[in-house]
Amino acid sequence: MTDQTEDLSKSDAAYVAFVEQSWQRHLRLAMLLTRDQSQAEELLQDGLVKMYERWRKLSHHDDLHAYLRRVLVNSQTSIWRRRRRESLVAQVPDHADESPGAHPDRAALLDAVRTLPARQRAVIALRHYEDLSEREVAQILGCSLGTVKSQHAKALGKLRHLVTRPPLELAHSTSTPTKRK
Amino acid sequence: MNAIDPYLTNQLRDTVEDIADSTPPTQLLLLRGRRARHRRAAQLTGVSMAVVAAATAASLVAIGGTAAHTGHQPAHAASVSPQMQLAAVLTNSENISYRVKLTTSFKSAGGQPWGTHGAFDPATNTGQLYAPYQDGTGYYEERLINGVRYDGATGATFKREPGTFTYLNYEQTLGGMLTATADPQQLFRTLQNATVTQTSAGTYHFTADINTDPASGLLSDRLTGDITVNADHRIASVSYERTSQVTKNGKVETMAYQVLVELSDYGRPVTVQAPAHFTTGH
Repeated sequence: MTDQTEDLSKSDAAYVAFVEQSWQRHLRLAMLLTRDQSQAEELLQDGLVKMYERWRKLSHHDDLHAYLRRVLVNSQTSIWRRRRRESLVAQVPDHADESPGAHPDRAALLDAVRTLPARQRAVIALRHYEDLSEREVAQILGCSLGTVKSQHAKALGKLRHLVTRPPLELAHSTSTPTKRK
Repeated sequence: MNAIDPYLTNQLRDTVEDIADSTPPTQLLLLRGRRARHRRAAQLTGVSMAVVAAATAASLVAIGGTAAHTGHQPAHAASVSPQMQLAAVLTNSENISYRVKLTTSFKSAGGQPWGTHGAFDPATNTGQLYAPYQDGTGYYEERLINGVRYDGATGATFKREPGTFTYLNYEQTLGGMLTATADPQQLFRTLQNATVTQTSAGTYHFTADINTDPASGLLSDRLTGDITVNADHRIASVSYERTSQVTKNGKVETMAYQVLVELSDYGRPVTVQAPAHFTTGH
């Protein structure tokens, strides 16, 4: 369902169909790349707007989902670099405003993923959520296979520290936003 | 794969599967996309951003300012240069509320004129811009109420921008095609660089070369136009053509567009109602 009320051109109709088909799937990837759902939606919206700008050329693209995935990852990496340069939130853990309260272990994992540098976060999301090969991840990120391997290993090393803890300890370590206040 | 992989994979998938479904804002995406295309077109024609304020400044001179709005008369033409006469008119047009109507068209693209209208009161930082989309399928709207800005579009919930503002965001509302500022200093700087001649009582012709940045591909940028003054010695309209030379793929291209800015209702109160529903930006 959409809020669409206007008559659409054929091209726009195809675009809308793609948006409706891809929104939920890519929102979840965006959630892994960003801090929270509102940022994820903003990232996804920006990516889809970029696609609209190029839609006439893209409509013949083999894999629009792969294209959008690349846009999301690259956009988020750019955002992260810009923020890093501005030193506004460097090294501050990215805790989500919302957390899967019924699953504290998942909340801890999500928090842990969000503390990773953008590229490592992207590697984790693409490898483990999108189920892409390391070679495909390298293509999306525009880096070498070796870089993906090393980034992946570093990310796993950091995550292993958290996700291999016993569930009780995990739950205990996952302070909620309200507690932090 | 590492031994941790299956666990991590499953947990990640389970985690994001918990996220509630949301509705894709397709209408908003269409409108943002169309606006982005306009912005892209504007940039390709060398009509981009920062310096554009200068051109529009010449037209929107009435927006803001430091001078008192006492309606004082400019010095008599016989004793002062056209530049000085115009400067007095500009000063008289500043720091007072106004209504504005903008009509823009790309000459090089042969496009249809694009109209925008609005109002602004610099004393209260309150105003509104309303920009119907060219194909008639929607519109963009900006509301500024005591410095609080809301952006909206057809079929989309308004978004409240963080922070407070002292000017309307022409750049955003017009998709980057034009920008303007309420900053009178910027206006004066622009006009100080203009060559002005008086064509008749209450009308002036001007030419201004805008600073360019060859590194960005913008080789030259010239505004040529006419200003009319109303009976209260305030700016009534500015019509100008902007011609830009840009390098694109190693070739030099000349682009041009035409703008007509009409200002009226100086001093009339500007009242804008906040949208009933809006989201908050971050």
